[in-house]
Amino acid sequence: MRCKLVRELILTDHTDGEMDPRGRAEVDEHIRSCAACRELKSAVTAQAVGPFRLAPKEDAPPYLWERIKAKIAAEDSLRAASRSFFPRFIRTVSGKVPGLSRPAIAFAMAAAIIIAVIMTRPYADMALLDAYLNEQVEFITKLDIHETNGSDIFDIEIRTGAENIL
Amino acid sequence: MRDISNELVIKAAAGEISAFEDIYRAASGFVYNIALRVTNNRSDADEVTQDVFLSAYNKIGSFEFRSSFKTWIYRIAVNTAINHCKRRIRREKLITAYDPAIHDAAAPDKSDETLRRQEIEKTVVSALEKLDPDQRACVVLREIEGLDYRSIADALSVNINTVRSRLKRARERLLTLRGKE
Repeated sequence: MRCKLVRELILTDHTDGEMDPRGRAEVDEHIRSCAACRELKSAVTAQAVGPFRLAPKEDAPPYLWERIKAKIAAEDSLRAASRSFFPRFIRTVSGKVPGLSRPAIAFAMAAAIIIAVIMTRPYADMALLDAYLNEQVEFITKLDIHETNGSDIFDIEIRTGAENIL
Repeated sequence: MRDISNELVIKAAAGEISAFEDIYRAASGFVYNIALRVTNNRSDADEVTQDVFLSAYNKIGSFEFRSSFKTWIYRIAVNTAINHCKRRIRREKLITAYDPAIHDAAAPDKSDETLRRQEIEKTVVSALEKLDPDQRACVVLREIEGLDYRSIADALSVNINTVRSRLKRARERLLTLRGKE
């Protein structure tokens, strides 16, 4: 077996136990007879693999679950508040202003919310801000009548925009 | 990671926070370790771990049991950690070098065992610093989490030869840089 191939295997499959027994035996035989490949095997084990295999595993800090739970509760509250407020508001406005369509109201509200959030609510976590904004825009724009199967807006199940982050 | 039953996943998807907490207890260890080793920074690891579980909570309703739940969580954890790393690099922040104040916060005494662990930790952090985020993720999943090539490929959504190639380049880099020290 040639050194070039053995070196490739030492850096990958042979070291990681990905070879079949016959292939592994051939590489082992070559390593026994080749000083250069034996030296490479020793270096890979000591410097590129060994240190990581000794790395300690740690538990997540105890405070993380409380933080996650608090954020979940905050997001759930926002969703619940959005579902009750916006349908009533849009129906009221469209009823009082003839000719003003619901899609127009929906997009105007989305723009107003984006501006209001950016101006007034500091978010340390931009990912959370993106999730919140995506969710609000998606929810409000889906209030348009052609997105629904019926007239009762409260039958709509809206998936959160946070799903679109990853 | 402890086994997570399909029933627990279904309950969590239905909004039962207690079921989701059970999932968190079972998975938080390996998620945190992936986050810690890929970001190589404790405060980033906290942030990534939170993001992973918030994302899992929001997406669990769309989990269709086509892969194992463990693979699904691995995928979210690794991708979140890699993306976090890459965003940090793009903002040109310095990756924190070994900082005893961060890594040794819970070790005020200097027993032999503690010193040995600190030395190992220092070596691991220093080695991971030398790798780019994609290489780092492969090394962490292979050497620390013990995944085989197929499982790593599934977690990273790449083909198996990409895993092989990244591991080879990571190890060549470590050997080259170590040789210059």
